[in-house]
Amino acid sequence: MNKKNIAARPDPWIDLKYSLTFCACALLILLPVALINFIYDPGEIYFQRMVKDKYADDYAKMLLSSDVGVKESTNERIVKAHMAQHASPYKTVIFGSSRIMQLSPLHMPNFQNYFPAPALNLGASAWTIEDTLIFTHILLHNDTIPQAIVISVDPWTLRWNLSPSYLILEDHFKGMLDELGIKKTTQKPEHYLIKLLTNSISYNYFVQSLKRLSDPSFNIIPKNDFKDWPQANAADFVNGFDFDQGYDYQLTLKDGARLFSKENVWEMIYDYNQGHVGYIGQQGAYWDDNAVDVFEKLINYVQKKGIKVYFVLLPFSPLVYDGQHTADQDRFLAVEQKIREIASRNNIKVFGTYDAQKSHMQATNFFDFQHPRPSTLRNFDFSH
Amino acid sequence: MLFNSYSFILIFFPLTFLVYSILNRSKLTIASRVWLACASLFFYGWWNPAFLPLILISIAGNYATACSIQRYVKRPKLNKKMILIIGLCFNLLLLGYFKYFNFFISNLNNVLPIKFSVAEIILPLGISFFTFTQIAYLVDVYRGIAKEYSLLNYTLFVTFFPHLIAGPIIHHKEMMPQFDSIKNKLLNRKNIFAGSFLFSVGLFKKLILADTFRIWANYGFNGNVHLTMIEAWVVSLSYTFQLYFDFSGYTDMALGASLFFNIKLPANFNSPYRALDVQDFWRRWHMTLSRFFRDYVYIPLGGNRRSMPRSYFNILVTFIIGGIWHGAGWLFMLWGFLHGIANMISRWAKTLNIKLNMFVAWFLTFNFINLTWVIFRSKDMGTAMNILSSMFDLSKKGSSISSLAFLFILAGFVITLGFKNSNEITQKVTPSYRWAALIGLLFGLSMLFMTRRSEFLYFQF
Repeated sequence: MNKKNIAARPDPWIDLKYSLTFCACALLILLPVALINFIYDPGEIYFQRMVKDKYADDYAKMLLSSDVGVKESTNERIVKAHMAQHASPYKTVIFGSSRIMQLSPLHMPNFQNYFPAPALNLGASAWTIEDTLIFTHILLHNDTIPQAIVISVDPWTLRWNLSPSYLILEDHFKGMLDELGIKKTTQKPEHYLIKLLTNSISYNYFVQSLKRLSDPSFNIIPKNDFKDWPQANAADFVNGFDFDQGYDYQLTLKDGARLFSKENVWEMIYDYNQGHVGYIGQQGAYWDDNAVDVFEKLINYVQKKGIKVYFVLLPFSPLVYDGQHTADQDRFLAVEQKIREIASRNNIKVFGTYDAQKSHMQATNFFDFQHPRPSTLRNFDFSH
Repeated sequence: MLFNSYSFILIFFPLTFLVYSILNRSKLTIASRVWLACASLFFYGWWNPAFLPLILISIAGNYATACSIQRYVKRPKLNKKMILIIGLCFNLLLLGYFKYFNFFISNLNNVLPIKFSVAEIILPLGISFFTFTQIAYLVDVYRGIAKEYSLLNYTLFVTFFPHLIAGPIIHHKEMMPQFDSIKNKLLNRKNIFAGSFLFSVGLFKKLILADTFRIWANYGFNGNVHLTMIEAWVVSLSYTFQLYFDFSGYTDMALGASLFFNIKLPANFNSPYRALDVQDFWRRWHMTLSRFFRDYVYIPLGGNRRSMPRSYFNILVTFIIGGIWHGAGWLFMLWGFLHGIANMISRWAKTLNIKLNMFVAWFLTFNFINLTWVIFRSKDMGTAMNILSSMFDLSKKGSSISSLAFLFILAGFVITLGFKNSNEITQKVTPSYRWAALIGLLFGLSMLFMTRRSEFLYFQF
């Protein structure tokens, strides 16, 4: 029988062998990547989470009782969740993305003048509406609930499914929806396990894992406590420390705020000089009606518990308003109007505006197009 | 749904193929077609279910028109022609409203003292492709080349998911006989191997090559930056390669997915950057669109059968229409116009028997294409002029772009000029362990980049 006939002849056994060869070769590439990602785990969601999760609470306690702050350790959401569980002494909490994470109530007297002190910044990178539900749920189950919640509302806050980061705390998300009596939303439930699996073979994650792999100071099995974990030197912060310059490493301050590392500051400024404008939810609808509905229900629920809610609209850099980014400008304008409508319906005070021109911002007030410098936040006007 | 998504690769495609094969194996051929048509509509609706009625209306309208033309075969010619014209108007109105209405209104607002409000219109995915496919079908029915009485077959012809969103633009006569063939109902191991290879190559081109070039192209085209000469060349070449790897990658995936069903879609690319003149380029780039314009615009206008000036005029009109097909904007029109002019020059040179050295011919053609892609990609004339002028501004030196960009551009040249293209290699794919291993490695490597997935460039056209 000639070769052509053999090739065309149906034979399940040989097809199985071909399929196995295909799978084996694909796995030859995917498995080592998955293994390295699993062990080195820069996002601390696999092995590093398994070994660090039990210490995250100790870390949060050490952070809250530190002099200034502690070097960032494990997954920031996990840490913030533990800080939220210990938030009973705090009268004000701040919610929001990396845009407001640099707002340090302790170092910004302007903030303390307008909101009950002490205040705790619970913000986390890529904060979305799902996070707002999660952290509210945690706070409402503490012995003492805060008097005020300051929500930094971003242009993407009124939309579902913009970041999978919340999935690490998805039980609280579901818990809050149950508590609000919401049976169905238009939020497409994502499956954490599937996200974990797809992320384990992500090239971008792999690059970060390789950075860890080549870092001699990184221990695969971390020390079993945080006694020796680097704490910021209090002496550095005594006389006029320049927060805009960043610190030697990324630091979480004792009030939950983030102090970027010098390297991160440099990267953001470099990004800014490249004219880069990119943020989550840059495409698609301005808001989801159902997300707006849930957001308002949450606010009403919180207000009924006696908590005062404030909205903060942090400005974007003038780069967005240079006439080259009209789509972003239109989006920001429309969302801001929507947020003001929600605020007015629910008797909520709104501080600030996205518009750099209205808030008289200069390019030098920002690290990149969306992150205001700590000095900008320090001078943010909360008086009206 | 994107070809380069987990939901397509791990769920939609295997499930669609499995059920289709089982139904065919059970000799339920009608059911298998119903399944494939429904799956294709689901594939389309995944992006935005609100546009499903639109494609269904378009299918129903064109099917009804085609049936009416077929019924009028023995009646006076005028009726048949009238029906065709009504059918064409229906398609062009649909396309015109969704794609060109706002462009028309905003231009009207620029010249008239009164202002009309611009509507909020979302461009339905693939409307240019499925409308052109159906226009070609109506004309073919009118000419007596195509005939179809089954609504199911017609729906499958239009919606078959591998070609639905971004082509290739197909003809009824090259598709439906393949669906009718009994032989094609059986699993074909060679086609599955060839299809897997093409799909994996497409995935590699899109995720690893095109999406990497995208970073440097976007830097120049989206950023408000002043480029040095080197940076401007890196930006323009990055876009030139991004567009090729993106669109040919998509086409490879479409052809590959289709081969699993034993359907051979027409090739769309034949190493276009090897072209030695602009005419040659259009025989190699987006070949099914070129074919469409040749058969349904250029030849009906008179082609080259009349005087030379008239035939040059026909070329220019065809290319300007081709330009505006890509998007509602003056820059697309300008791009089409420039290609039309270049095409005329190339024909004129041939009539004078002018022959350039092969390298010189390639160099001129490639650079013309590269420069005109800058106009094609730019959001406005200012951006285009900024990049084009920087490309020839010797006073601006240095580069802040990563050196990886230079490596990728070199790789882009080597791949597009030095290697056989995916269609040529696919001819050699045979069921063997060697090919199974190679396809597995290529697929595994591409899967690493799945999380950076982005839409295909030609989805917007």
